[in-house]
Amino acid sequence: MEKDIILSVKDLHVKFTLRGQELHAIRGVSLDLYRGECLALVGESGSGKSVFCKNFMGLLDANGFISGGEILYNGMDLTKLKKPLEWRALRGGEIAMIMQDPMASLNPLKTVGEQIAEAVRLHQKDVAGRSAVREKVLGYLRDVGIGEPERRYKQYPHEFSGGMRQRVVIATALACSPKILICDEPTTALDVTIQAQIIRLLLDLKEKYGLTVIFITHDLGVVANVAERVAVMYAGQIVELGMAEEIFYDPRHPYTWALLSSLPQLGERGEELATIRGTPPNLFKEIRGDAFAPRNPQALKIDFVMEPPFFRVSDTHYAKTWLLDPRAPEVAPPAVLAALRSRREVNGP
Amino acid sequence: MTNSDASREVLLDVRDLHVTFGRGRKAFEAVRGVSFQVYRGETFGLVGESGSGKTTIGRAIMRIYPPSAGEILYKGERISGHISRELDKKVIREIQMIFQDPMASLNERAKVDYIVSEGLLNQRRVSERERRALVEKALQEVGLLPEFASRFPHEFSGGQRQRIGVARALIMEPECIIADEPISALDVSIRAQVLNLLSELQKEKNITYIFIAHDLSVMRYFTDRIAVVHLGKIVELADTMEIIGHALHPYTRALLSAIPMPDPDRERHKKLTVYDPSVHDYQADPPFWQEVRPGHYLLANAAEAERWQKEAEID
Repeated sequence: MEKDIILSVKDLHVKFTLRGQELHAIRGVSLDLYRGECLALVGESGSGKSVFCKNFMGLLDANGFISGGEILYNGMDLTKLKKPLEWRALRGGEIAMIMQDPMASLNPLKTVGEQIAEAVRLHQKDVAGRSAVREKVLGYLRDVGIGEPERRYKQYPHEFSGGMRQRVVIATALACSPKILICDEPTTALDVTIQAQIIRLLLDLKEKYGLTVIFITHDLGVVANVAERVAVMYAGQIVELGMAEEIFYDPRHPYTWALLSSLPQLGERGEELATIRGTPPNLFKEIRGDAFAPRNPQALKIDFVMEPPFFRVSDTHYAKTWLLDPRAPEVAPPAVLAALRSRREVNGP
Repeated sequence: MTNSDASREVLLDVRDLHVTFGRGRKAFEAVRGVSFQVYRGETFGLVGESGSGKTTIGRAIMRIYPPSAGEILYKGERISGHISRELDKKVIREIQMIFQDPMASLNERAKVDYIVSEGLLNQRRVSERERRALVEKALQEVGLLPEFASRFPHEFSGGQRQRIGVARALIMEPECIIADEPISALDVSIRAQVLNLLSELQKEKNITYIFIAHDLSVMRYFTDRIAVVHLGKIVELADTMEIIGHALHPYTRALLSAIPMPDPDRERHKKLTVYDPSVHDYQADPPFWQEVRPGHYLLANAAEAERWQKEAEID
């Protein structure tokens, strides 16, 4: 089956000017997003995962700019858009975004119903008349699992709990009838049980509305739950890209190994957890070689000299590490990850 | 681990603790009758969702909030309510706290040197030389360089700041540390570092931890026993492995089912359990605190306890 590319990013570079210095936040990222998929972007804070997605909506901070590459959507190059008016046609209606803190996304002075209705009126011109808009809003409230929608319509955001507020934000995003939904850590501020419910909800809505979802998170456990495809980001680059099964059961990049094996979910009581020593690189400076090399105890000599290209593991799986070069020595992934893989072999997929 | 309670020394004994905020018609009871014992050298976990009262329990032990009923015993002595000055001083020294957000819990205007030794200055007279030596030792113990003492908090990353928070507790030579969500504000790769540091310190110094978190996956790795808190009450208490393997209370089971595992096959076929408090019929048949298996306590009425145990056997 030929996959239908909805958004295509080609060698994107983003820089920020900060106190007279230049910070190279996105260092050449290429990515094709397929229609109807759920792609997860994983990485530590500062890896550039949020900055990367903000480019799709023209939401970079004032001191940030795109210094190279292109973003193709519907035959349009989004990097060429400058005026707010040009963006307006895209924001919400084509690409919508859900942020981490629902209280910061909602207007505290307007009732929840009015806020969703506003989105309906702006983005769905065919819905005419007060009662039609109201019916539509009530439908969205029901879709996101808010009980008693008639009563809730008239309430203000402060009368909702954190999880319910995030549901309202999701309803608002849906009311724009977007093609692509970007979820930027939508569950980080929520309790684990609520997190599980919101994720389930997002997956159901994705099917119902035929959305393409980009899910930004630092939590690999959540990724296993939502994503069909995973992109691991480090220091402004994608270092590994593959189907969820490939990333979890057959990871190839040392950074993905390190991220996975440091999860307490895989740790045993009394044994030390694997850690990633050191800190992410300073992006004010030009990075030479593999950005992860200084933190990688098994780094090869070439890692400090030359940046690795993307090596192909399978048609869907690519990793940016010299370990995949035929001349590289054999380096085995950490033992905890082998356990994850063997459990799959025993139980079957 | 054995369950022979007699052989283990009870460090902290919380008896029927109630904490109420406000008074009169506005009164809100955040903790509604909680009892548990913490043994010396163990890691005791308090887990629950936001608003469950787990932090309030921790703070009541720290004597930040006065209990409205019940009492707290430390090494057999009552430390809640009015206590002597000497005991007060001793408790402040021996029970220390680590906070959630290292960005918010360090004084931005003070140097690390002062932040770490502040507690010491309130306790006893120390010479400048001794103070410096103690700060240096504490910083080294948490894996920071001694020269960091002359820097300000903003010069550090989140993980380093949390280490400063740990050093500040360590310098008091505490016997018990209450850690309130110490890793939830940290980046994934840093979490493992802080957890490793805490367990190393425990091994070296035999420190008792009360570990407060909302995330059972961290609890499973880090604690010896877990108390599950829901709406101001402990609904289940047992050894960690017992809770993970044989949870009985539906709330505990809901929490367990919500743990995100890094295993796509399992996650996709997972059945999500949602806890509905209306399943309980407590009007007619009120629940009571009972030991269902050795060391495994449950808040339930007799009918529920029997039913849940049968259900657990089937699973």
